[in-house]
Amino acid sequence: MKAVIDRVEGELAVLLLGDKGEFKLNLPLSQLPAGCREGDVLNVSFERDVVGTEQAKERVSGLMDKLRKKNQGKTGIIRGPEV
Amino acid sequence: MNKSNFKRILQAALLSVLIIAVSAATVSASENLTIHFIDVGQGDSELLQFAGKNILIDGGTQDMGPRVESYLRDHGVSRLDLLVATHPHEDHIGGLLAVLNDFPVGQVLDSGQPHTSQTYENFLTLIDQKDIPFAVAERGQTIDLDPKLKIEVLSPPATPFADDLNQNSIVLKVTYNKVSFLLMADAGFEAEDSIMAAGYDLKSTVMKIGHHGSSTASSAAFLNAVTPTSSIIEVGAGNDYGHPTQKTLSALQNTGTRIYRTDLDGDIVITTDGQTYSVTTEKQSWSTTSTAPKSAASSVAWPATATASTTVATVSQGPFVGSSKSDKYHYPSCTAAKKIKPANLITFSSSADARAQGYVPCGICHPP
Repeated sequence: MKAVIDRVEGELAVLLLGDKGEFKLNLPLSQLPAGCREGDVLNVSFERDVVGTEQAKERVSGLMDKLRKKNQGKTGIIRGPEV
Repeated sequence: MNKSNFKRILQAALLSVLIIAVSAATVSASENLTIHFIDVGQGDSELLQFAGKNILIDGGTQDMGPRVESYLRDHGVSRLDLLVATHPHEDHIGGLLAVLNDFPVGQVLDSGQPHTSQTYENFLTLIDQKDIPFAVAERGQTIDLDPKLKIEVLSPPATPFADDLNQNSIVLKVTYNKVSFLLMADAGFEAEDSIMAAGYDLKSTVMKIGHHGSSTASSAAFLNAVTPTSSIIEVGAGNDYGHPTQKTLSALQNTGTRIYRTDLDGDIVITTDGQTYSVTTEKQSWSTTSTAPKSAASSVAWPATATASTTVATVSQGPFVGSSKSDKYHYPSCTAAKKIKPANLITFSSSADARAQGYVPCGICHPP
Protein backbone atom coordinates (compact mmCIF):
# COMPACT_ATOMS: atom_id res chain seq x y z
CA MET A 1 0.00 0.00 0.00
CA LYS A 2 1.17 3.53 -0.78
CA ALA A 3 1.26 6.29 1.78
CA VAL A 4 2.37 9.87 1.67
CA ILE A 5 3.57 12.08 4.50
CA ASP A 6 1.09 14.90 4.06
CA ARG A 7 2.57 17.08 6.79
CA VAL A 8 4.51 17.01 10.02
CA GLU A 9 2.85 18.41 13.14
CA GLY A 10 5.51 18.67 15.84
CA GLU A 11 6.74 15.12 16.47
CA LEU A 12 3.82 13.57 14.58
CA ALA A 13 3.83 12.70 10.89
CA VAL A 14 0.37 12.80 9.30
CA LEU A 15 0.23 9.91 6.82
CA LEU A 16 -2.44 9.53 4.15
CA LEU A 17 -2.81 5.89 3.13
CA GLY A 18 -4.73 4.17 0.34
CA ASP A 19 -5.21 4.90 -3.37
CA LYS A 20 -7.11 8.08 -2.65
CA GLY A 21 -5.30 8.93 0.56
CA GLU A 22 -8.53 8.18 2.36
CA PHE A 23 -7.02 6.69 5.54
CA LYS A 24 -5.33 9.12 7.86
CA LEU A 25 -2.79 7.96 10.42
CA ASN A 26 -0.78 10.01 12.89
CA LEU A 27 2.57 8.38 13.67
CA PRO A 28 5.55 9.67 15.64
CA LEU A 29 8.35 10.62 13.25
CA SER A 30 10.60 8.37 15.34
CA GLN A 31 8.64 5.33 14.06
CA LEU A 32 9.46 6.18 10.43
CA PRO A 33 12.77 5.72 8.56
CA ALA A 34 15.39 8.35 9.32
CA GLY A 35 15.18 11.44 7.15
CA CYS A 36 11.44 11.16 6.44
CA ARG A 37 9.92 14.51 5.60
CA GLU A 38 6.80 16.15 4.28
CA GLY A 39 5.92 14.92 0.78
CA ASP A 40 7.78 11.57 1.01
CA VAL A 41 6.00 8.60 -0.54
CA LEU A 42 6.24 5.40 1.53
CA ASN A 43 5.62 1.73 0.86
CA VAL A 44 3.50 0.27 3.66
CA SER A 45 2.93 -3.43 4.19
CA PHE A 46 1.43 -5.61 6.91
CA GLU A 47 1.95 -9.27 7.66
CA ARG A 48 0.07 -11.55 10.01
CA ASP A 49 2.18 -12.54 12.99
CA VAL A 50 0.80 -16.02 13.65
CA VAL A 51 3.35 -16.86 16.31
CA GLY A 52 2.84 -13.48 18.03
CA THR A 53 -0.94 -14.05 18.03
CA GLU A 54 -0.58 -17.47 19.61
CA GLN A 55 1.83 -16.14 22.22
CA ALA A 56 -0.56 -13.32 23.12
CA LYS A 57 -3.47 -15.79 23.38
CA GLU A 58 -1.45 -18.00 25.72
CA ARG A 59 -0.37 -15.07 27.89
CA VAL A 60 -3.87 -13.62 28.21
CA SER A 61 -5.57 -16.98 28.74
CA GLY A 62 -2.98 -17.81 31.40
CA LEU A 63 -3.57 -14.52 33.17
CA MET A 64 -7.34 -15.01 33.06
CA ASP A 65 -7.05 -18.54 34.48
CA LYS A 66 -4.87 -17.19 37.27
CA LEU A 67 -7.46 -14.52 38.13
CA ARG A 68 -10.33 -17.02 38.07
CA LYS A 69 -8.49 -19.47 40.34
CA LYS A 70 -7.44 -16.72 42.74
CA ASN A 71 -11.08 -16.11 43.58
CA GLN A 72 -12.44 -19.62 43.78
CA GLY A 73 -15.05 -19.77 46.50
CA LYS A 74 -15.18 -15.97 46.79
CA THR A 75 -18.23 -14.75 44.92
CA GLY A 76 -18.39 -11.14 46.16
CA ILE A 77 -21.72 -9.64 45.08
CA ILE A 78 -22.07 -11.93 42.04
CA ARG A 79 -24.41 -14.82 42.72
CA GLY A 80 -25.39 -17.86 40.69
CA PRO A 81 -26.27 -18.88 38.13
CA GLU A 82 -28.85 -21.02 39.90
CA VAL A 83 -28.50 -24.56 38.60
CA MET B 1 -53.49 6.55 85.10
CA ASN B 2 -52.32 9.77 86.72
CA LYS B 3 -51.64 12.93 84.81
CA SER B 4 -47.80 12.76 84.76
CA ASN B 5 -47.84 9.15 83.54
CA PHE B 6 -50.14 10.12 80.72
CA LYS B 7 -47.85 13.01 79.81
CA ARG B 8 -44.83 10.69 79.69
CA ILE B 9 -46.63 8.21 77.43
CA LEU B 10 -47.72 11.03 75.17
CA GLN B 11 -44.13 12.34 74.98
CA ALA B 12 -42.79 8.89 74.17
CA ALA B 13 -45.44 8.42 71.50
CA LEU B 14 -44.66 11.78 69.94
CA LEU B 15 -40.94 11.04 70.03
CA SER B 16 -41.37 7.72 68.26
CA VAL B 17 -43.54 9.35 65.59
CA LEU B 18 -40.75 11.86 65.10
CA ILE B 19 -38.11 9.11 64.85
CA ILE B 20 -40.21 7.22 62.30
CA ALA B 21 -40.74 10.39 60.28
CA VAL B 22 -37.03 11.21 60.32
CA SER B 23 -35.95 7.72 59.35
CA ALA B 24 -38.59 7.59 56.60
CA ALA B 25 -37.23 10.84 55.23
CA THR B 26 -33.67 9.48 55.37
CA VAL B 27 -34.67 6.27 53.60
CA SER B 28 -36.62 8.01 50.85
CA ALA B 29 -33.79 10.47 50.25
CA SER B 30 -31.44 7.60 49.41
CA GLU B 31 -34.00 5.61 47.46
CA ASN B 32 -33.33 7.02 44.02
CA LEU B 33 -31.61 4.84 41.45
CA THR B 34 -29.53 6.91 39.05
CA ILE B 35 -27.99 5.61 35.86
CA HIS B 36 -25.59 7.93 34.05
CA PHE B 37 -24.83 7.38 30.37
CA ILE B 38 -21.52 9.22 30.25
CA ASP B 39 -20.55 10.95 27.01
CA VAL B 40 -17.21 9.35 26.14
CA GLY B 41 -17.40 10.04 22.40
CA GLN B 42 -17.35 6.83 20.37
CA GLY B 43 -17.57 4.27 23.18
CA ASP B 44 -19.67 3.25 26.17
CA SER B 45 -19.58 4.17 29.84
CA GLU B 46 -22.40 3.92 32.36
CA LEU B 47 -22.48 4.63 36.08
CA LEU B 48 -25.16 3.11 38.29
CA GLN B 49 -25.69 4.67 41.73
CA PHE B 50 -28.00 3.43 44.46
CA ALA B 51 -27.98 3.94 48.22
CA GLY B 52 -24.37 5.11 48.28
CA LYS B 53 -23.19 2.19 46.14
CA ASN B 54 -21.67 2.44 42.69
CA ILE B 55 -21.23 0.21 39.65
CA LEU B 56 -19.23 1.41 36.65
CA ILE B 57 -20.04 -0.36 33.40
CA ASP B 58 -17.30 0.25 30.78
CA GLY B 59 -15.08 3.33 30.57
CA GLY B 60 -14.79 4.40 26.92
CA THR B 61 -11.47 4.57 25.07
CA GLN B 62 -8.15 4.97 26.85
CA ASP B 63 -8.00 8.74 26.21
CA MET B 64 -11.40 9.08 27.92
CA GLY B 65 -10.05 7.68 31.20
CA PRO B 66 -9.48 11.13 32.76
CA ARG B 67 -12.97 12.26 31.66
CA VAL B 68 -14.58 9.21 33.28
CA GLU B 69 -12.54 9.72 36.45
CA SER B 70 -13.55 13.36 36.82
CA TYR B 71 -17.18 12.39 36.14
CA LEU B 72 -17.00 9.82 38.95
CA ARG B 73 -15.45 12.35 41.37
CA ASP B 74 -18.03 15.00 40.42
CA HIS B 75 -20.76 12.52 41.34
CA GLY B 76 -19.37 11.66 44.73
CA VAL B 77 -17.81 8.33 43.81
CA SER B 78 -14.78 7.43 45.92
CA ARG B 79 -15.10 3.66 45.58
CA LEU B 80 -16.66 1.27 43.06
CA ASP B 81 -18.48 -1.74 44.45
CA LEU B 82 -18.29 -3.37 41.04
CA LEU B 83 -16.61 -2.62 37.73
CA VAL B 84 -18.14 -4.33 34.69
CA ALA B 85 -16.10 -4.76 31.49
CA THR B 86 -18.87 -5.74 29.06
CA HIS B 87 -16.32 -7.03 26.51
CA PRO B 88 -12.63 -6.40 25.82
CA HIS B 89 -12.84 -3.89 22.95
CA GLU B 90 -10.83 -0.73 23.58
CA ASP B 91 -13.81 1.63 23.22
CA HIS B 92 -15.26 -0.06 26.32
CA ILE B 93 -12.28 -1.00 28.51
CA GLY B 94 -9.64 1.59 27.51
CA GLY B 95 -10.74 4.16 30.07
CA LEU B 96 -11.06 1.51 32.79
CA LEU B 97 -7.25 1.32 33.11
CA ALA B 98 -7.10 4.79 34.68
CA VAL B 99 -10.11 4.02 36.89
CA LEU B 100 -8.51 0.77 38.15
CA ASN B 101 -5.34 2.70 38.94
CA ASP B 102 -7.03 5.48 40.88
CA PHE B 103 -10.20 4.10 42.53
CA PRO B 104 -10.65 1.22 44.97
CA VAL B 105 -12.71 -1.47 43.19
CA GLY B 106 -14.57 -4.18 45.14
CA GLN B 107 -14.88 -6.64 42.28
CA VAL B 108 -14.55 -6.94 38.49
CA LEU B 109 -17.10 -8.69 36.28
CA ASP B 110 -15.63 -9.60 32.88
CA SER B 111 -16.95 -11.31 29.75
CA GLY B 112 -14.20 -13.93 29.96
CA GLN B 113 -13.00 -13.64 26.36
CA PRO B 114 -9.18 -13.75 26.21
CA HIS B 115 -8.63 -10.94 23.69
CA THR B 116 -5.05 -10.50 22.43
CA SER B 117 -4.85 -6.69 22.57
CA GLN B 118 -2.22 -5.03 24.76
CA THR B 119 -5.01 -2.93 26.33
CA TYR B 120 -6.85 -6.01 27.57
CA GLU B 121 -3.65 -7.66 28.78
CA ASN B 122 -2.82 -4.49 30.73
CA PHE B 123 -6.37 -4.51 32.15
CA LEU B 124 -6.00 -8.09 33.46
CA THR B 125 -2.48 -7.38 34.75
CA LEU B 126 -3.75 -4.40 36.78
CA ILE B 127 -6.53 -6.53 38.32
CA ASP B 128 -3.92 -9.12 39.24
CA GLN B 129 -1.50 -6.57 40.72
CA LYS B 130 -4.24 -4.90 42.77
CA ASP B 131 -5.59 -8.28 43.81
CA ILE B 132 -9.16 -7.36 42.89
CA PRO B 133 -11.69 -10.24 42.99
CA PHE B 134 -12.43 -11.25 39.38
CA ALA B 135 -15.60 -12.96 38.17
CA VAL B 136 -16.65 -14.08 34.70
CA ALA B 137 -20.20 -13.28 33.64
CA GLU B 138 -22.71 -15.96 32.77
CA ARG B 139 -26.43 -15.91 32.05
CA GLY B 140 -28.42 -16.59 35.19
CA GLN B 141 -26.15 -14.69 37.57
CA THR B 142 -27.50 -11.87 39.68
CA ILE B 143 -25.62 -8.94 41.14
CA ASP B 144 -26.49 -8.37 44.79
CA LEU B 145 -25.81 -4.67 45.08
CA ASP B 146 -28.86 -3.94 47.23
CA PRO B 147 -31.92 -6.00 48.19
CA LYS B 148 -34.20 -3.39 46.59
CA LEU B 149 -32.60 -3.76 43.16
CA LYS B 150 -32.75 -6.76 40.87
CA ILE B 151 -29.73 -6.92 38.56
CA GLU B 152 -29.67 -9.91 36.20
CA VAL B 153 -26.98 -11.11 33.81
CA LEU B 154 -28.89 -12.00 30.61
CA SER B 155 -25.87 -12.78 28.45
CA PRO B 156 -23.38 -14.27 27.55
CA PRO B 157 -24.80 -17.79 27.85
CA ALA B 158 -22.88 -20.58 29.62
CA THR B 159 -21.50 -21.66 26.23
CA PRO B 160 -20.21 -18.44 24.67
CA PHE B 161 -20.79 -17.47 21.04
CA ALA B 162 -17.91 -18.49 18.77
CA ASP B 163 -15.25 -15.96 17.76
CA ASP B 164 -17.15 -12.75 18.35
CA LEU B 165 -16.32 -10.43 21.22
CA ASN B 166 -19.31 -8.10 20.67
CA GLN B 167 -21.74 -11.00 20.70
CA ASN B 168 -20.37 -12.16 24.06
CA SER B 169 -20.99 -8.77 25.66
CA ILE B 170 -22.34 -8.73 29.20
CA VAL B 171 -26.03 -7.77 28.95
CA LEU B 172 -27.66 -6.59 32.18
CA LYS B 173 -31.25 -5.97 33.20
CA VAL B 174 -31.69 -3.66 36.19
CA THR B 175 -35.14 -3.56 37.77
CA TYR B 176 -36.21 -1.15 40.49
CA ASN B 177 -39.89 -1.76 41.22
CA LYS B 178 -41.76 -0.60 38.11
CA VAL B 179 -38.84 0.94 36.25
CA SER B 180 -36.31 -1.21 34.43
CA PHE B 181 -33.20 -0.76 32.32
CA LEU B 182 -31.85 -3.10 29.65
CA LEU B 183 -28.16 -2.48 29.01
CA MET B 184 -27.09 -4.20 25.77
CA ALA B 185 -23.39 -3.20 25.51
CA ASP B 186 -22.34 -4.28 21.96
CA ALA B 187 -24.51 -7.41 21.77
CA GLY B 188 -26.01 -8.07 18.32
CA PHE B 189 -28.68 -10.21 16.64
CA GLU B 190 -27.28 -13.57 17.71
CA ALA B 191 -27.18 -12.56 21.36
CA GLU B 192 -30.64 -10.96 21.08
CA ASP B 193 -32.11 -14.19 19.67
CA SER B 194 -30.42 -16.21 22.39
CA ILE B 195 -31.74 -13.89 25.13
CA MET B 196 -35.28 -14.09 23.71
CA ALA B 197 -35.05 -17.89 23.48
CA ALA B 198 -33.97 -18.01 27.14
CA GLY B 199 -37.44 -16.76 28.06
CA TYR B 200 -36.60 -13.56 29.94
CA ASP B 201 -39.20 -10.87 30.51
CA LEU B 202 -37.52 -8.29 28.32
CA LYS B 203 -40.03 -5.47 28.58
CA SER B 204 -38.02 -2.51 29.88
CA THR B 205 -38.61 1.16 30.51
CA VAL B 206 -35.20 2.24 29.22
CA MET B 207 -32.92 0.45 26.77
CA LYS B 208 -29.24 1.18 26.11
CA ILE B 209 -29.24 0.28 22.42
CA GLY B 210 -26.72 -2.37 21.35
CA HIS B 211 -23.44 -1.56 19.57
CA HIS B 212 -23.75 2.23 19.24
CA GLY B 213 -26.86 1.86 17.05
CA SER B 214 -25.09 -0.12 14.33
CA SER B 215 -27.08 -2.32 11.95
CA THR B 216 -25.66 -5.48 13.57
CA ALA B 217 -27.99 -5.03 16.55
CA SER B 218 -31.59 -4.13 17.50
CA SER B 219 -33.72 -6.53 15.45
CA ALA B 220 -37.38 -5.59 15.11
CA ALA B 221 -38.37 -8.74 17.03
CA PHE B 222 -36.08 -7.83 19.90
CA LEU B 223 -37.23 -4.20 20.03
CA ASN B 224 -40.84 -5.40 20.05
CA ALA B 225 -40.07 -7.60 23.03
CA VAL B 226 -38.44 -4.73 24.94
CA THR B 227 -40.67 -1.80 23.83
CA PRO B 228 -38.65 0.78 25.76
CA THR B 229 -40.25 4.16 26.48
CA SER B 230 -36.81 5.76 26.23
CA SER B 231 -33.76 4.56 24.32
CA ILE B 232 -30.16 5.62 24.76
CA ILE B 233 -27.52 5.44 22.03
CA GLU B 234 -23.93 5.91 23.19
CA VAL B 235 -22.12 7.16 20.11
CA GLY B 236 -19.46 9.68 19.08
CA ALA B 237 -20.25 12.69 16.88
CA GLY B 238 -18.97 12.22 13.33
CA ASN B 239 -17.58 8.75 14.04
CA ASP B 240 -15.88 6.77 11.26
CA TYR B 241 -18.30 3.84 11.36
CA GLY B 242 -21.62 5.39 10.41
CA HIS B 243 -23.13 4.81 13.87
CA PRO B 244 -26.00 5.00 14.48
CA THR B 245 -27.35 3.70 11.17
CA GLN B 246 -30.58 5.02 9.67
CA LYS B 247 -31.87 1.43 9.67
CA THR B 248 -31.57 1.22 13.45
CA LEU B 249 -32.97 4.73 13.99
CA SER B 250 -35.99 3.87 11.82
CA ALA B 251 -36.52 0.57 13.65
CA LEU B 252 -36.48 2.47 16.95
CA GLN B 253 -38.84 5.17 15.66
CA ASN B 254 -41.28 2.45 14.61
CA THR B 255 -41.57 1.36 18.24
CA GLY B 256 -42.46 4.91 19.35
CA THR B 257 -39.58 5.09 21.80
CA ARG B 258 -37.95 8.40 22.61
CA ILE B 259 -34.32 8.45 21.50
CA TYR B 260 -31.48 10.07 23.43
CA ARG B 261 -27.94 10.13 22.00
CA THR B 262 -24.69 11.04 23.71
CA ASP B 263 -23.39 12.65 20.48
CA LEU B 264 -26.30 15.12 20.51
CA ASP B 265 -27.32 15.26 24.17
CA GLY B 266 -23.98 14.85 25.96
CA ASP B 267 -24.20 13.07 29.31
CA ILE B 268 -27.65 11.54 29.84
CA VAL B 269 -28.79 10.94 33.42
CA ILE B 270 -31.87 8.94 34.34
CA THR B 271 -33.15 9.09 37.90
CA THR B 272 -35.97 6.93 39.22
CA ASP B 273 -37.73 6.25 42.50
CA GLY B 274 -38.98 2.96 41.09
CA GLN B 275 -42.31 4.47 40.04
CA THR B 276 -41.49 7.31 37.67
CA TYR B 277 -38.28 8.46 36.05
CA SER B 278 -36.77 11.65 34.78
CA VAL B 279 -34.20 12.20 32.06
CA THR B 280 -31.69 15.03 32.30
CA THR B 281 -29.36 15.75 29.42
CA GLU B 282 -26.22 17.85 29.48
CA LYS B 283 -26.93 19.72 26.24
CA GLN B 284 -30.06 21.28 24.86
CA SER B 285 -31.32 18.76 22.43
CA TRP B 286 -33.31 19.80 19.39
CA SER B 287 -32.04 16.82 17.49
CA THR B 288 -33.61 14.37 19.90
CA THR B 289 -37.03 15.67 19.04
CA SER B 290 -36.32 15.57 15.32
CA THR B 291 -35.41 11.91 15.53
CA ALA B 292 -38.35 11.12 17.80
CA PRO B 293 -41.24 9.16 16.28
CA LYS B 294 -44.03 11.01 14.50
CA SER B 295 -42.47 14.14 15.91
CA ALA B 296 -43.92 17.61 15.91
CA ALA B 297 -40.59 19.25 16.65
CA SER B 298 -41.65 22.73 15.59
CA SER B 299 -44.32 22.85 18.29
CA VAL B 300 -42.03 21.69 21.07
CA ALA B 301 -40.89 24.38 23.45
CA TRP B 302 -37.53 23.45 24.91
CA PRO B 303 -36.06 25.36 27.81
CA ALA B 304 -33.59 27.98 26.67
CA THR B 305 -31.08 27.05 29.36
CA ALA B 306 -27.97 24.99 28.70
CA THR B 307 -29.40 22.04 30.57
CA ALA B 308 -32.46 20.43 29.08
CA SER B 309 -34.43 18.48 31.63
CA THR B 310 -37.56 16.58 30.84
CA THR B 311 -39.63 14.37 33.04
CA VAL B 312 -41.09 11.33 31.42
CA ALA B 313 -43.64 9.96 33.81
CA THR B 314 -44.45 6.35 33.17
CA VAL B 315 -46.59 5.26 36.06
CA SER B 316 -47.43 8.37 38.06
CA GLN B 317 -50.61 10.36 37.53
CA GLY B 318 -50.16 13.23 35.13
CA PRO B 319 -52.54 15.44 33.22
CA PHE B 320 -52.52 13.30 30.06
CA VAL B 321 -52.25 9.64 29.14
CA GLY B 322 -51.55 7.59 26.02
CA SER B 323 -50.90 4.05 24.88
CA SER B 324 -47.53 2.72 23.78
CA LYS B 325 -49.50 1.07 20.95
CA SER B 326 -50.91 4.29 19.47
CA ASP B 327 -49.90 7.90 18.81
CA LYS B 328 -52.86 9.68 20.51
CA TYR B 329 -52.83 11.35 23.91
CA HIS B 330 -55.95 11.87 26.00
CA TYR B 331 -57.45 13.33 29.15
CA PRO B 332 -57.43 10.45 31.66
CA SER B 333 -61.24 10.68 31.73
CA CYS B 334 -61.57 10.13 27.96
CA THR B 335 -63.54 7.01 26.94
CA ALA B 336 -60.67 5.97 24.66
CA ALA B 337 -58.13 6.45 27.47
CA LYS B 338 -60.09 4.11 29.74
CA LYS B 339 -59.73 1.30 27.18
CA ILE B 340 -55.88 1.41 27.32
CA LYS B 341 -54.44 -1.71 28.90
CA PRO B 342 -52.41 -0.92 32.06
CA ALA B 343 -49.29 -2.49 30.53
CA ASN B 344 -49.42 -0.04 27.62
CA LEU B 345 -50.37 3.04 29.65
CA ILE B 346 -48.02 6.03 29.40
CA THR B 347 -48.54 9.24 31.37
CA PHE B 348 -47.40 12.65 30.17
CA SER B 349 -46.67 15.58 32.46
CA SER B 350 -47.94 18.06 29.87
CA SER B 351 -49.21 18.28 26.30
CA ALA B 352 -45.73 19.50 25.28
CA ASP B 353 -44.29 16.35 26.81
CA ALA B 354 -46.78 14.20 24.88
CA ARG B 355 -46.08 16.02 21.62
CA ALA B 356 -42.32 15.79 22.19
CA GLN B 357 -42.74 12.03 22.31
CA GLY B 358 -44.55 12.03 18.99
CA TYR B 359 -48.13 11.89 20.28
CA VAL B 360 -51.01 13.87 18.75
CA PRO B 361 -54.25 15.05 20.47
CA CYS B 362 -57.13 12.54 20.62
CA GLY B 363 -60.06 13.36 18.33
CA ILE B 364 -62.62 12.44 21.00
CA CYS B 365 -61.53 14.44 24.08
CA HIS B 366 -59.48 17.12 22.25
CA PRO B 367 -56.74 17.77 24.80
CA PRO B 368 -54.67 20.97 24.35
